[in-house]
Amino acid sequence: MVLGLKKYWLVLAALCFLISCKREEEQHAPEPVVRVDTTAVFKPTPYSLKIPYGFPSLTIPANNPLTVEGIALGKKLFHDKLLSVDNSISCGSCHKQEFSFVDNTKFSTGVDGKTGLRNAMPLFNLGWAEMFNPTAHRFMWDGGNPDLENQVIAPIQNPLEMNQGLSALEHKLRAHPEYPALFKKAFGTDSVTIKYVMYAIAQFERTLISAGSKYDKYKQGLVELTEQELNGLSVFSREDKGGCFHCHGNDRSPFFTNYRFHNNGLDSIPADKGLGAITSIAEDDGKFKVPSLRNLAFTSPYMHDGRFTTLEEVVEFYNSGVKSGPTTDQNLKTHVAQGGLKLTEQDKKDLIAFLNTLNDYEFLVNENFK
Amino acid sequence: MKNAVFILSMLLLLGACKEEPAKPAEEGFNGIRYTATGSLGINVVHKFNTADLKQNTDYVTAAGDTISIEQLRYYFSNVQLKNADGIWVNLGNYNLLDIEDAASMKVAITNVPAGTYNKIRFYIGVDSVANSSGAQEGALNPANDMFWSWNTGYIFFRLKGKFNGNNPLALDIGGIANLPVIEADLASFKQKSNAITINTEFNLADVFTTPTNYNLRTMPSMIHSASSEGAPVLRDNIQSGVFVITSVQ
Repeated sequence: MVLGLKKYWLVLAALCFLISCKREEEQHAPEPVVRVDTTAVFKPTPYSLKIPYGFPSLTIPANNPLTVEGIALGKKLFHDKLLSVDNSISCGSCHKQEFSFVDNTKFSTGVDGKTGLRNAMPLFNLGWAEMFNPTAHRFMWDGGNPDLENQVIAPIQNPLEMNQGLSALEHKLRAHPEYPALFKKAFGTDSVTIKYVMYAIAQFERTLISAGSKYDKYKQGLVELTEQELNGLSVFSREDKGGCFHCHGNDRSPFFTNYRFHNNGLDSIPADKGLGAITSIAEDDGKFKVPSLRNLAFTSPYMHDGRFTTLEEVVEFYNSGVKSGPTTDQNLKTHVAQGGLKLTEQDKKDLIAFLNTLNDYEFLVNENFK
Repeated sequence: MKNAVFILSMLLLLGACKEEPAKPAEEGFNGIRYTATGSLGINVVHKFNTADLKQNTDYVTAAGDTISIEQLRYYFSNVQLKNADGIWVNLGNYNLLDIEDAASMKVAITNVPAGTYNKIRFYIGVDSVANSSGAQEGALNPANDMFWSWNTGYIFFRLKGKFNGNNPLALDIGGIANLPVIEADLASFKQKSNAITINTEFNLADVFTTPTNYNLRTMPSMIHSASSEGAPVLRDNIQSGVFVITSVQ
């Protein structure tokens, strides 16, 4: 059959068009993949995060904007045991919502019954770290990761946690009946790569916002704090009492952490160098991430090594047990030099009563995270 | 400087024993000249002194250690050319070279702007911006197993093998302070083309010497973090003399 000249040109033009499309595709997806619909438009649904009352706005990285599909994928990955080498544990196995995304053990159990070296950290209000901490050391007890995206693969690879090789993980995800389509929907990618695993889980983690405590409601004028709780807030805020605000923010900060790293004087010579092992700077030895004081009722035991089980022990430690070492925080050292905080028994009880106003029970049952 | 002097003297030597002259040298400029946007290929041949480098073969280092290698992989990135105005043009370009992958030893760069260039510079590793994020693909995909996820950053250079019998040898160089920057002179080559290839040799023997003889019995033979005392020593050794330009065509 002979085509008319007009038709011939049309076919030629279509071919040229196809070739130019194909070239573009190859640049994005170097792996040979079957693409069913080359014209499908990649359009994930932008997700607008609700910023709670009293919280500053949250800066989202420009290269990883929040989308409905990205967050959903991140949530699915977070709860999927496929992320561990023997498909036995997920991120959620140790970061359980019922404990504000942590477990209640001193050291969590990874694959093959191995236990970690530090106490797992709860997950909430993580997205604000960059706003308050200008260094490249923001996540993990030791500051080993600069952002949430990079943090994601540390526990996946850690031999004591999920012990999952990343190349093997890519293969598992590519061979999965659902994931390739979900990555495509969330990121427009034809090939599942670790980059998008990092992106998706980081997106989900940015939505884990805890702001439903009694204290939050008090700040909104919805409830009153008791006299004891108010006195506890005063102990927290006063330099001549607890002086807690230096590291854990103040009554105008909703986070109860400064997102930075300090040596809180647990030992005069720290057995675990923490940040110092990451930066190789002697002044950083014994410095660990300042945890938020929110949700303490769910996150026992306390400290990077889980040495304290109760808040009473923690408060007594700051009252009378801080050791002055070469890198111990200066504010704490000042109190040590004065013979400790010298809190009364009532002050200690009041402080704990105040800390318990920071527990967010709504966060534990939020359906969006399940 | 020492590096440049070494490379220059190598070039003189090479020039002296070259069998046949390449294309007649263009007069009136020093270096390589592109009259339009062109391409640059950099080929790397791996040697141990004069021998072609092979896996699982014994070699003796300057410090007297016998080594054999199983794995040699390193990043080759940020290829930069210095133009006649003294400005470094960064052509970006992230490559992961692996002696088990012959194709990886041919670095291909497109979009070299027109101009005359008299120096070349590149990193054995990655720049600080790329180093701070593993959320990348291709050569920089952390699934390539050249990434520290516990302390975010790439492993710039990895050598794995054995030394002095069955002792394990594992040298992972990373951390931006330990980034080897290689700089070489192109002035004597005088090539005009829009598709230029630079042939280089990577001499593994030089990783263990110049300026410092690296003794595996006294220095770390297992390096797995940026803070190892061995890392800056190896960085300096890699920077000076490991790469030599053998010809430009």
